[in-house]
Amino acid sequence: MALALEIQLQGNVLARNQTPLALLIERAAAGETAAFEQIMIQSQQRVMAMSWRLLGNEADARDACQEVFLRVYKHLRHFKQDRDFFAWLYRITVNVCRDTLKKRHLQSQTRSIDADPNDSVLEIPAEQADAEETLLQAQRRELISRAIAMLPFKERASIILRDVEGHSTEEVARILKSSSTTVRSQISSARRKIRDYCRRHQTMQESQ
Amino acid sequence: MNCNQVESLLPLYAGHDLDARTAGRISMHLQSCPACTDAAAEYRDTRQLLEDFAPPEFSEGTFAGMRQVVWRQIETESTTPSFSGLIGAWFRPRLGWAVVTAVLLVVFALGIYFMSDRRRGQQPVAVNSQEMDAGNGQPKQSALPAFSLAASRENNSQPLSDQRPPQKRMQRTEVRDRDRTSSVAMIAASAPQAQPTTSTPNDSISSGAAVNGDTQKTLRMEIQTKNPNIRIIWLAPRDAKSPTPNSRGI
Repeated sequence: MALALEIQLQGNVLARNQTPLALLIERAAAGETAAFEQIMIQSQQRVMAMSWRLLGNEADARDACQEVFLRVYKHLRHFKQDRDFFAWLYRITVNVCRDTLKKRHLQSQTRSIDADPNDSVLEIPAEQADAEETLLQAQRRELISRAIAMLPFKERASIILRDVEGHSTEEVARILKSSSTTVRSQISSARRKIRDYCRRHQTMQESQ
Repeated sequence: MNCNQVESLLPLYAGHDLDARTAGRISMHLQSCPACTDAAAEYRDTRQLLEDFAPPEFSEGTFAGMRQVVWRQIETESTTPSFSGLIGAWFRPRLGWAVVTAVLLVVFALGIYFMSDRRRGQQPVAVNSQEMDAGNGQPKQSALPAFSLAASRENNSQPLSDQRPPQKRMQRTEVRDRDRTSSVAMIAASAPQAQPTTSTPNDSISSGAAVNGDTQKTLRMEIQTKNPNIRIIWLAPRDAKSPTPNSRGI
């Protein structure tokens, strides 16, 4: 009997955790705090990752993430259920990150293209078995991070949503409230700039 | 397609963002062009780097702290009214008082207006140069021609709304007309041939006819001032000397 009750409780917990997002949104919009907490838990990783990619550091990404969820909480009752919630969330994230960059003048503080990418390579413990691979991965991340940081914000948002997050061009256009042609042009320009940056970095390494 | 055209389309080709026909044409060009093939490989590598551009692992503590901050801010904002809410709250209890004050002010202003209007109606507006005989109430016989300044409200048929010039202007007009009357009286007094006539203020105002019915012997002159309520009527004997040139401007 006790075992059956335990299984039933576990089933309830499981069912509660698997509540469809639409229902959660509906309940959160009605003022249920637990539902909004669930929405935050389900989407925090995406928002944080997107913010980190756009802003380039964890502290700013955390602040942006808080602001995103505050805006979501304020405007959730105006959200229409027939729309894509995550597209809406990404749009808010992009807007918040753009505001953050404007506010803190991070664009002027972004690292120069000519700066040495090895300046701030993450320190990796040498004891690790895969230390070399981790170091290489960190260098690549640093390289791409620098390359993305030099892009204009619109191109940055487009390339992250398209190539990093894996959205289609039409989805990116919808998220950014732009046209597919504009997004395609931004993506093309961003890829070219990143390619040029990586090529220059490779040339510098070979010359050393 | 030449190399320049292919080069311009390679970023989109690497990301599979081109239509099938254009992509096929680029693929055909790449088979025969090593330089463009190398460039395409670079774009593919770049795209691969972007796909591997994963953020660092964020700890659960980071997310929990973030959510706590969000809830704290939500609570703070719900307890602290917003700027617009503050303005609304400031106006809400005072709006009733403002309406009551405005109504009282309007009532007060209307009261003052009607009171002053009534007082103005009671004031004698007419100015008559004739002196009334104290004994029988008849106009006193005078050696001067009779002048009457007709401004009586009782004889005015205009509606009340048209009789509301500002009081100061009315008083100024009266003073001016008194001056005119006195100056005409002085002119008339200087004419020794003037025959006395008799008139009542009502006669001169209402009908404007010659006094005593003797139209043959009496000359009547009416001067309308700017104020429609005030009219100067000048009665003089026909055989009297014409007024001096100075009096024509009256």
